[in-house]
Amino acid sequence: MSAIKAENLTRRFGKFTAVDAISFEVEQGEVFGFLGANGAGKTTAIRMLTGLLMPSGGDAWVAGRSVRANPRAIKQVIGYMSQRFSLYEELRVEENLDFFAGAYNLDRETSRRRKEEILEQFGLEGVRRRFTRSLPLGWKQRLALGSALLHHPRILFLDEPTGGVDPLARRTFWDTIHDLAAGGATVFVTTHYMDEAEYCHRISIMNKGEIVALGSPLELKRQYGKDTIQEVFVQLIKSTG
Amino acid sequence: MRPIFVLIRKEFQQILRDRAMIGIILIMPLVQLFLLSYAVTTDVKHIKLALLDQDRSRLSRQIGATLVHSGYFDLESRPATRLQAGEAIQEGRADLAVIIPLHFARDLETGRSPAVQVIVDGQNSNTSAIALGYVTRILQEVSSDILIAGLAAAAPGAAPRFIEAQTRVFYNPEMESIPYMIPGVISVLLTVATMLLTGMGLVREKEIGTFEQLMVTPIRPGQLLIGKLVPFALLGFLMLILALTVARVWFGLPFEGSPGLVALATLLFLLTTLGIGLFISTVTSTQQQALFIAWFVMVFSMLMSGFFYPIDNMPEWAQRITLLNPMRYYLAILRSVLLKGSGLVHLWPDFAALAVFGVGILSLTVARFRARVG
Repeated sequence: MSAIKAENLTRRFGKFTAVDAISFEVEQGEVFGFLGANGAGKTTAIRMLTGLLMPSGGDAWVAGRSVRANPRAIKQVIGYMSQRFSLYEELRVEENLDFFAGAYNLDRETSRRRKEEILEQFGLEGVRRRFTRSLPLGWKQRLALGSALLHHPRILFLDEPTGGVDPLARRTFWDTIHDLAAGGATVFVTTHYMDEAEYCHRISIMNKGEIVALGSPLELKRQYGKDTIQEVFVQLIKSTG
Repeated sequence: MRPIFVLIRKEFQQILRDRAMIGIILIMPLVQLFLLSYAVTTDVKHIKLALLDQDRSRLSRQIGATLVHSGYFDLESRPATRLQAGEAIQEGRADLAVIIPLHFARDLETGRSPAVQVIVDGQNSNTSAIALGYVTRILQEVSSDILIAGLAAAAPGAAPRFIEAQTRVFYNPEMESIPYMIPGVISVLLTVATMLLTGMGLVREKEIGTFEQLMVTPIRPGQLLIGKLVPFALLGFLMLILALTVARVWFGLPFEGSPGLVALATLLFLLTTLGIGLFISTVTSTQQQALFIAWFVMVFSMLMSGFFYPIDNMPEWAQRITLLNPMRYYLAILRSVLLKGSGLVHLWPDFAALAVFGVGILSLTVARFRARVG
């Protein structure tokens, strides 16, 4: 069974079709890059896959659960990190972890254990009592990822997770993502950075609500006769208007 | 249960970390209580008086002295002419001008009924009506004294007979406005705090993106609502206790009735204010929008509650509109329980109305909330 499967997934806002009948499958343990220009429909697609937005047509299955029929069941098995840092700035680092552990319905004992594991895994032990507001952006992003992993999600949705982060922090971030994938988690990630696309096992490129290319970075570069994903991307966006 | 617990804990952590919020919660009730209770008083005193005595008789001087010593008026000026008296009003130096015309005493003695002219600044109709009332009463007292004296002189020994109204005011014997105002201040306070804080709180989470982060967790809409309602309901009760303590200790406000009834009424009332606050947050996406709607609701509830203007004095259609205002019922209950010690026997219709509004508004909000985020 694929971790994520979309079939003619569609979302319209009035007359505007933000996502136009996209279909794809993501295997378990895969790092799947979801690329597209601004306004291509990436965020709308990710919102449907995470159960935040009801599709207008088609369906998608996340860990085998339909986003149309059972959006609530999806929430327990996914982790989500949005492009905006969206933890509580006025809470301490560990209070944010306590909060989200509780939000995911972990019992007291599991919450405590997972909090310690996450603090260690993301190198946040030294700042656990710091107010989240005072952390540098790169650290905040690590905390956000850590909060999304407390409940051991099988599938992780990352919406532009490295926006505004320095190259070194981005690099360590991607190392963590690959570690998670190696551990069996599926990672669905959108990004603006074309070099990051190279870190993905497979990528799809979206334009105007449709998927215009899908494959491994190597396959796509060969298919379009380009040296980098960046060039592939530019050509695709130009040729598809 | 864990999600509800952590939601409530988070809310308190946020509130307690925010110095401005603590200020709002502790200082605002006190400032409002003092300010509104002392400033918004319907006892009219220190009315600026311009007195023109053209008659300069014993009687006219007596009338002047009675006015000045009544305690309601401050003698601001003694204009020399009618024109000057009019000017004093126009320039705002006087609220009220009393003119006793020439030959006033003589006319009275010769059996005519001379007139005392009273000019009043009608800009503040409330104050001027009350000021006119004082003057009229004082003049009546003087003329009845004259009448008695005249009758006694005409028929010595035969004591004149009068019907005297012996009045006694129950529940607020001094007829001060403070005991009447404080329940109003408390209702407004609770509305402002609970409706604004819940409404703005959730919209703020939408703005900073934490709301979306909550929506991808398995937290249920109902749990989220309880997590938002409980902390602010507790805050509302805290403010109530604070306000009532100050009202009792400082203003000597009576507490005749049962604290349990006050608590029950407050609980029902908070259901409506919190419900409206949450409802606002489901129909708005920015704090500004939420603030504007909340402001409108607040002004409506204040004006149509009988806080400033007695509902009985409103036109028929306006009275009917007040029936849709939950604060009206809460205010009525609070006044009756605190000042009269009324019980459920008399107040059950108000309680029933509050309960209907509370449950109704909250159900509407829950339905709207589920539709939006479920």
